Amino acid sequence: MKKSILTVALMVVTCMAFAQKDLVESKSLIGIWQQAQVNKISDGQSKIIKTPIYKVLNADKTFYCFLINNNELNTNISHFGSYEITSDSTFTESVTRHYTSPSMDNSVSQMRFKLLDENTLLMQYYNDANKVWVPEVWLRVTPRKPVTNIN
Amino acid sequence: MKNVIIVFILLIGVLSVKAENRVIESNTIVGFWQHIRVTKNVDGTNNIAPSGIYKVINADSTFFSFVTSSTGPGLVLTMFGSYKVTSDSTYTENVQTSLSALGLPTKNNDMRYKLVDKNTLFLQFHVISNDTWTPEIWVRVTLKEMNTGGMVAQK
Repeated sequence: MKKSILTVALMVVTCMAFAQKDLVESKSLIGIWQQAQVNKISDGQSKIIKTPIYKVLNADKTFYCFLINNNELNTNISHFGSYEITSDSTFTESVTRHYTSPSMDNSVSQMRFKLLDENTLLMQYYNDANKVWVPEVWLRVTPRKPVTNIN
Repeated sequence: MKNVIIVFILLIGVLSVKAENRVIESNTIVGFWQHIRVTKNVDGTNNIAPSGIYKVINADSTFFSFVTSSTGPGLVLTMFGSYKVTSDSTYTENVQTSLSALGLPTKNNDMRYKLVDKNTLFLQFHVISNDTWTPEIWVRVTLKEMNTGGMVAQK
């Protein structure tokens, strides 16, 4: 019995360590993402502008979105909930609470996703009102390499 | 072995449920925290302003830190690891990989904490080199309306 408890404890600790590593060093949908806007410029080319909107997709299937106003560093969470990956290109977001759109409380959104590369995520959410898929571009927030070995 | 696997699956399920939203709706040290810098004005009054440093303390005994980029909208992850609450006023941070260029974190940090109120956290970390405790003030990031400053708001 004692051996079994130790085995379970070891498995749980290992999973937790991997979960954290997944979030910070993930190459999948899991991660900390910054939304970007793709703007058309006059000569027909596109320019990517980073927005101050972020989404955290945790390994434990929870998520939350927040915004940092970079001028005053006001930081707020807009909504949170859980998600479920339903295929290699789709997932659902279940919103527990949405501050700005209370009608979305306890709602479920259908999402499409595609990793253009390990740090660029193309996402689409289905807009029920207009019956269209709305695209979003998200860029992964990545760790910074240490300049010197401080330890 | 079968029992071990069943208990393991059940435990993971329970932990997953418990972890859900506890970062956002917490009244404890678990939460999404923003560091506040207090500086002295020339007239002796205090100037209080966000520093751009954040710490997310998860319910599953893990944490990570990030800072705002100095070159426009953006964040840089600086640290992640696990932590263990050792009393009602102390905990230890085990930094698995320190990525900070600021020179503050070490592999293990002894911390003192006090929740001044549910959204204000007073932390002190132990500086081993001179055996001092350095104070920090953190405020909880909460659910509020987003002012996107003209950017397209998410649905």
